[in-house]
Amino acid sequence: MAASETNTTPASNESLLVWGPIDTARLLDSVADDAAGANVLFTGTTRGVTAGAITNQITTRLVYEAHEPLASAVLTRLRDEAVAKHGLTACTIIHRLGEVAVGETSVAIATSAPHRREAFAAAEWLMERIKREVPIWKCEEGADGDRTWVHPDSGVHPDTELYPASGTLSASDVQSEQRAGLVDGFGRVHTDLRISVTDRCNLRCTYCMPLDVAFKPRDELLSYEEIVRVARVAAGLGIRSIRITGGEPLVRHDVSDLVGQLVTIPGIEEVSLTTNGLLLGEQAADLRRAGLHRLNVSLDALNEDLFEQIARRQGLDRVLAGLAAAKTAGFHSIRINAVSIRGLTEGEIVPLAQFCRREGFHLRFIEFMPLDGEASWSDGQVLSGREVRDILTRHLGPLVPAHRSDAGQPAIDYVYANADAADAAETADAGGPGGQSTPAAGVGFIDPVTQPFCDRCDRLRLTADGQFRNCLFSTTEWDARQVLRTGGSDDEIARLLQDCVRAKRAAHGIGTPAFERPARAMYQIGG
Amino acid sequence: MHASHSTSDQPTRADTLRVSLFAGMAAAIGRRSLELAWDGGTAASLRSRLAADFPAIAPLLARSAVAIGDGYVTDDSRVPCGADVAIIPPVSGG
Repeated sequence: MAASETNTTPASNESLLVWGPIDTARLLDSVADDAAGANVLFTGTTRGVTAGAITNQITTRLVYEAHEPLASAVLTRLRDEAVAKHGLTACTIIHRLGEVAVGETSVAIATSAPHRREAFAAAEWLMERIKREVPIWKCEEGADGDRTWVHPDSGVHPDTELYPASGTLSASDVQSEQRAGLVDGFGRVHTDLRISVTDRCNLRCTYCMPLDVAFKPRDELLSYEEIVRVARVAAGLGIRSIRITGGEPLVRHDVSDLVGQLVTIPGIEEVSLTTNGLLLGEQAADLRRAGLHRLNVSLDALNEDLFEQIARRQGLDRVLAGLAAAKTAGFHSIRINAVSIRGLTEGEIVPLAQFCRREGFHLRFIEFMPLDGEASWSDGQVLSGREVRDILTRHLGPLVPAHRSDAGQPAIDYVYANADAADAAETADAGGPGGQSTPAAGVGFIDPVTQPFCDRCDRLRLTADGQFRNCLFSTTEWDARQVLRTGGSDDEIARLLQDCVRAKRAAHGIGTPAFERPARAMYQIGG
Repeated sequence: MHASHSTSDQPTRADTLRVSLFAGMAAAIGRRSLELAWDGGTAASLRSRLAADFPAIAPLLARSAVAIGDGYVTDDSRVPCGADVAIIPPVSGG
């Protein structure tokens, strides 16, 4: 309920802040009720003359200001309490803000009740409480132009216990919150931590990285020891799964070592990794031996020229070899992530789908999101999941929604209704915990633009340079590296992560006027 | 530690605090809003910090409440980095 510019009375009984004259004549109407035998209207009017000890104070003008969100919250609470406490049938409160000329109404209360005693008592009760508790202040201007903000001496400021802030913690609350897990202001429980181990990459995909990119100096990136420490703290707070990303994680030396350490952290049930696959040929076996549970491979095109056009490097053959090596190493339920780009990848949709069906990979199409290094994205460019689905259906037959066993996972999964010999045998999920079942060589759609899944989001992020982020698109970060490198305790890291979670917004807001592009590009956050 | 600024190539660091001021307190220092470098602490430590940085508002500050978001906080409450804090001096509405 924001302060309104107009001076109309509310349609029904509620509390309101307004910026123009209060239409008191219609206020009584707002509380009319069949069950009401008594209707009371109180108006507080600004005085031009205030009796003083020696002389009278002359006021020519008043100005009111408020901490509006808080004032609205308090007024609403007071109104509700008045209704309950006095058995009112209706109650309207209006407080005016801004300049109020002498003799005009600054506050108005209308109450109705079965009998007059309650109606009168409630109005008086409300005025007492409003004057004591609502964060509104008046400034009196005298005849000589002197302006004085009124802050009564009697220590009248709101009782903090009456209106406690939600979501803030006293020292004793911290411990109990740590046990409760990483829950944000919207009730989302966070169990997934994406850890970027590098901002470097051996490709230059147009939607992710600018051509002349500047990478962070290596000493600005977290060491494996630091990463493991943060992961440990996070696991203690409720993180259950870790996904290693980058840039391209495999370009960092000995990622298998990191994997080996992460899988042993108590509380961590799954460690997975997203890669462009170029180095999988060499590292798949090591990764599997180190205990990596799952692999996601990014592949947007099977056409060599198109691959090169998007990635600005050659390498399709290495990716395919890497996928083969991953299968040989024993990775099951490998997921292929394909970014859909209008005007570019439409022709790859069916070939990719057929390839994945044959190989037993679960394919997912991802709508192109606004995080490219060249700062070039517009609404019209989104090749939506729905359109991709339509193309697939036209060529490969109907798609049937698959059972979703993992609510936090953003993809909507389908299986092909027309199963045929071209499909690989159903791949049982050997590596995943908690009964996550990947449909046998099905296809999924991650649609962050057309179907935001913010309400189910369960993931947090740690960038390669040690910043916590609560959203890919957030514009604020929390500096864990500083805590680590200035001798901070695990408790401090924990508190930082909790602060980060608590500040999480409802949604990323893509496509809304409020959306603010983050200053980092994807390769710097960890896709 | 200095407060970091939001520039075109740097994200906002959450090691700052925005403090909203009102009425006589805002008039006393000519500011409606302050941005402080902040690495965590309680409401009590925020009070001390504000009183030290802005002596002109210290007396009124002592009679004011601290609000974060939708309500008031006690002095021993933690003020997280990136929080939206308001100082509420004695009120005079109604």
